[in-house]
Amino acid sequence: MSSPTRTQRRAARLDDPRFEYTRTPRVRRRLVVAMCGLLVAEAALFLIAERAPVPFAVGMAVLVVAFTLCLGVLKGSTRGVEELPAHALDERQWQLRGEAYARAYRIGFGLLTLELLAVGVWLVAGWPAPGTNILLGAILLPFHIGIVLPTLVTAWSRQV
Amino acid sequence: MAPRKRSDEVELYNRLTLLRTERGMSRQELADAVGVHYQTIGYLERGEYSPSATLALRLAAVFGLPMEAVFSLTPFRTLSEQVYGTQESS
Repeated sequence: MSSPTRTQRRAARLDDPRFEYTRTPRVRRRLVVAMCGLLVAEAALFLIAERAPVPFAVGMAVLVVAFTLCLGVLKGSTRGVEELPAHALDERQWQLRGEAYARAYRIGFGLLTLELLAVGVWLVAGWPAPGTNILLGAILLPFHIGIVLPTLVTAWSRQV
Repeated sequence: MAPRKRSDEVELYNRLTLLRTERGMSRQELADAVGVHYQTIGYLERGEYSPSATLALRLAAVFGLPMEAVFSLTPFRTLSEQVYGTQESS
C-alpha cells in the first residue's frame, strides 16, 4: 500500500471528525467574527505603533499566535475546501469553492476600491503625509485580509 | 447548505436513499464507491445538489441500474403506488 501524499494528509487533517463541532453554521460564524476582530485589533495596533512601540510589539506577538490558531480552526471548519487542490475535492466541493472565490473577489474588489478612494481623498485634501506605522498598516492589512477572505466567505456562507 | 441552485435550474429527482438503504450501504460506503465526500451523498439524497452526468452514471453503476432508474426530471411514483396501484394519502 502506497503512503498518502502530502495533499492527502492535509485533506485528511482538515476533514478530521474530531473537529466536527466547529462545522456548525453558528460556530463557523463565530469564528469569522473572531477573525474580523483580530483584523480590527491589528489595525488598532498599527495606529499606536509609533507612540507605543513596546505594547505594539507585544500586541503583535499575541495577535500572530491568535491569528494562526483562529485561521487553523477556520480552515478545519471548512474542511479546507478553499485551499486544497482540485483533485482533492469532489465536484460539489469544487462548485462551492468557485462560489466562495467569486464572492470573495467581489468583497475584495469593494474593499480595495474603498482603500483607493481613501488614498485619493487624502491626496486631494492635501492632508499631511501619514506616519510609517499607517503606511505599514495600509500595506499589511490588505495582505492579511486577502489571505483570509476566501476562508471567511466559505465559513460564513456555506455548509462544507 | 448546498451550492446555490440557479433559479432556472430544473429539479432533479432521485431514488438514492431508497436504493442505498435497500442495499444496506452507508453514505460513506456509497461515497467511497463513487469517489466523493460522504456529505455530498447527503446533499444528493435531499435533492440539494444535482450531480454531473459522470457522477450520476457512476451512482447508477454502483446500483447496477440504468441512470433513468435512479434519476428523473419528474417525481418518482411512490413504492405503494407502484406495488398496489394506490396513491399515498397526503
